[in-house]
Amino acid sequence: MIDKRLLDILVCPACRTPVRLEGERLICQNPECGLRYPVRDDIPVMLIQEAEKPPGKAEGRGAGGEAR
Amino acid sequence: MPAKPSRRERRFKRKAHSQFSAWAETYDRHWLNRFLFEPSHTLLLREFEALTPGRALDVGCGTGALAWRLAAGGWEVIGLDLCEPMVQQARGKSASPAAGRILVTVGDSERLPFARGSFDAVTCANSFHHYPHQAVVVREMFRVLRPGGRLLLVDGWPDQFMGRIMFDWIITRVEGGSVWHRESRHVRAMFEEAGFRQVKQRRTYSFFPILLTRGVVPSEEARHAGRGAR
Repeated sequence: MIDKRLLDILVCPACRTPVRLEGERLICQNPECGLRYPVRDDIPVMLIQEAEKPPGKAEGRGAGGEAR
Repeated sequence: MPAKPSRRERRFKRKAHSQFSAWAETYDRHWLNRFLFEPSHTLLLREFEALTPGRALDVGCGTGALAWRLAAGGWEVIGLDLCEPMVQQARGKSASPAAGRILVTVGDSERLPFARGSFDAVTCANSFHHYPHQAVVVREMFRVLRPGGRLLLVDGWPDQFMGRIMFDWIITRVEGGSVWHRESRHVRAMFEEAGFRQVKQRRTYSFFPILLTRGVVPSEEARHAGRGAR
């Protein structure tokens, strides 16, 4: 389980939008981006190259606008 | 946002990643701990003596040696490293009561996965020389600090002859090349260009000459009042 203190401040490294925990994935909340980051052994792996694209978005690396 | 990394830079990052993955298990016993890492941490922790404990981010936390010393001083610490096996080691040292104050994540220093203004302090000890885009990293550190928060960065001090021999020759060989130790004026310039104020540098000699650079994020008012408001 990821600690809430960490979850509260984590953002997508591609577009800086907050992420939401869904099972073993941290999902970027920006609909333009939607990258899905793995959580392995309770450790968030916040690397763009490790992220999966959202279903139905096979091409392009998300990362729409820069929400700061 | 960083420019698209060149093939050379990607290769450097991959190299650092595989080097540290291989090192993770034995890293805490490496001779550099005694001669470089521990004195660096001691220099850095002295800067924390006057601060009220809050939330800190340790960038390039490695096996967590500095994070644990900070947590023992009452800080809540988030350790970030590019290398997953290192981060696992950092979390693994869980026998101490400070364990509850250490959280870890895998991430890239050039794209910190944290919201703006999340931290009271950012530390970075003996890791900066591995980053291909150092100015980008300093700007990212600035972004995740709250107004009044401070960045404390320690790395080799290569300015003079001995420093050059030690860092450009010895350490570069130990680390297998692909590292960038910066002279103090260059580090200072990166801090100031990112927006840090009250930039101060301290140098110390253990076996290696070490440079500490500190910068403070100005308050919102000061940022808007200043000429170079960002």
